[in-house]
Amino acid sequence: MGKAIVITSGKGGVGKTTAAANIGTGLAQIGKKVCLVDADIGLRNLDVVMGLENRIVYDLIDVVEGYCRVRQAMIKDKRFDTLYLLPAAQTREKDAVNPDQMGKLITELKQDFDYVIIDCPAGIEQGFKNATSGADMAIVVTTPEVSAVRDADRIVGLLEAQELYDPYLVINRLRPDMVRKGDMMNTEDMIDILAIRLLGVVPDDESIIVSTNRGEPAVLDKRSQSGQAFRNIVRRLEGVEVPFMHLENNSMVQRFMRLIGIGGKS
Amino acid sequence: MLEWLARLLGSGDHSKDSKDMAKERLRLVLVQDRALLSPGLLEKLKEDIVEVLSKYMEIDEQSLEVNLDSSDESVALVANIPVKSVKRRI
Amino acid sequence: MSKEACIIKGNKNGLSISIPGEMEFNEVLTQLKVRLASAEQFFEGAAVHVTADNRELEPEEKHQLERTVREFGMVIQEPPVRVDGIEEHQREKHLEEEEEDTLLLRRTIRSGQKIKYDGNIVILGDVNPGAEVVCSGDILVLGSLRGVAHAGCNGNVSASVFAFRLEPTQLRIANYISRSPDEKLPKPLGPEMARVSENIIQISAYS
Repeated sequence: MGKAIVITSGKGGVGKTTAAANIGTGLAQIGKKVCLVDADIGLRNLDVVMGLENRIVYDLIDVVEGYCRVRQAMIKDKRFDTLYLLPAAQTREKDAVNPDQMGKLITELKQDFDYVIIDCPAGIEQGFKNATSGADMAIVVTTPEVSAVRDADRIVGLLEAQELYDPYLVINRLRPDMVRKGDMMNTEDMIDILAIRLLGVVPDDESIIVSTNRGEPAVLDKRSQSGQAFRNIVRRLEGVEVPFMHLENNSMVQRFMRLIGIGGKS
Repeated sequence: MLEWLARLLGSGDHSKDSKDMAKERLRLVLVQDRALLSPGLLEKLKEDIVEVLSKYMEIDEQSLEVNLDSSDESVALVANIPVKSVKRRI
Repeated sequence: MSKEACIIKGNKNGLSISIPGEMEFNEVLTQLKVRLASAEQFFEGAAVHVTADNRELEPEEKHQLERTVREFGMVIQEPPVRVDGIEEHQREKHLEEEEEDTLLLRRTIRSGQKIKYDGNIVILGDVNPGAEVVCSGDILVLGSLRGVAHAGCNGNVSASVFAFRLEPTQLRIANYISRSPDEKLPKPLGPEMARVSENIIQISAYS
């Protein structure tokens, strides 16, 4: 019996789908059986981020409505045999499925996979309720912006209402240069405010855009910094203690000290 | 220029950092969010307080202040209500 | 043989000469000349079209007929010679195809939009990625087709998909499915047509 993790944020555009694709691919990379579920009915995107958009025949709604079996709708990844995608319907609306149906579907998927990663739509309405129903735990994605953190806080509260306690936090698109100048909230600031456990910090990285263009998750790119951040996230999910990357060094001296091997880890 | 130099040297007045402003603003807005009181609701609360208190005393509505304040995980309603005079018992 | 060779009838479109199917052509020609000569002035200047029952006229025969008719001062009307039996049959088939309705859309079909129609679909615009066009007949896109197209969705394997720029995410014809290749291909230079051939969907330049 696997674990179902919903990736959510409240605010749109913070990188939920990118996080879902990278975490799912990263888990498959270390040999886990993973099913990515796009719960963003009507605005599907996980398929393009994964580069699998041209393989879709059936979707989640077809499964729920009984037009096909869940096996028929699942698309096998091009890179990993243990990675599958269950795409959302693009031509339907959020209310085409209800939380009970989603819960049942996720439970069914958990039988066959180690991880079921659910990409939640933005917002707090029906789509959120659908995506969280059936999940065992939640990862909240935010960016270091007032609006995104505020929405993340709201989501943490709503997750509790769905009996999803103690979610993980992923801070996305952190810009170390801006943090250093004091023009961007740092990890500590956000943890201070949200008071939830940190799963990872992903730096703002052009390679994410390039990898999305290509449909190749950055986690597969050995040279990508954000890819490294996602590989760390994956290992932490697997219970490995991985130190956080040095992204927010405060001064040249500290950076130099780290370079020569003294000084703490941020 | 001076500010730039100060930053370069790692000293200077950090309270002016935009990230601190962001954090402060967030803190305030979250207090309201978490207490489930919107600014509109706070205004309504103010009106109700005035209405109730007016039964007993004459208050200065202009300088009335009602705010939600938080200190470490707890939220307090802080009201500053100047009293002009206390009404006699009916 | 006792049957009269050529029937000359008048209708609102002019005169029509009908030729029976079984008769030998020279016989037809002779008879026609006799009939026309018997009332030469009457036919002069009239618009006429010639029809043949259940026979196909050779080009040479057609030509002779036309010449004969002109000799008597008549004007051949289009279609000059209608080979009724055969053409009727073709027309019927044609009509059958036309009976399948065609939906004409003068707009771009965007992501999340699904067009489903029982018949053919003609789109004067583009079909964007994420859009879906499904019909029981043919699909014609006078623009770029980048979304999903499903022609002959009720199982008609002879259905086809045509587009000025055929770059679909996925193509389906009846029960056949093909998807765009993962590696980048050069963009199509001109109109292309997809149809099922040898059990796969094949795309060829349309000329």
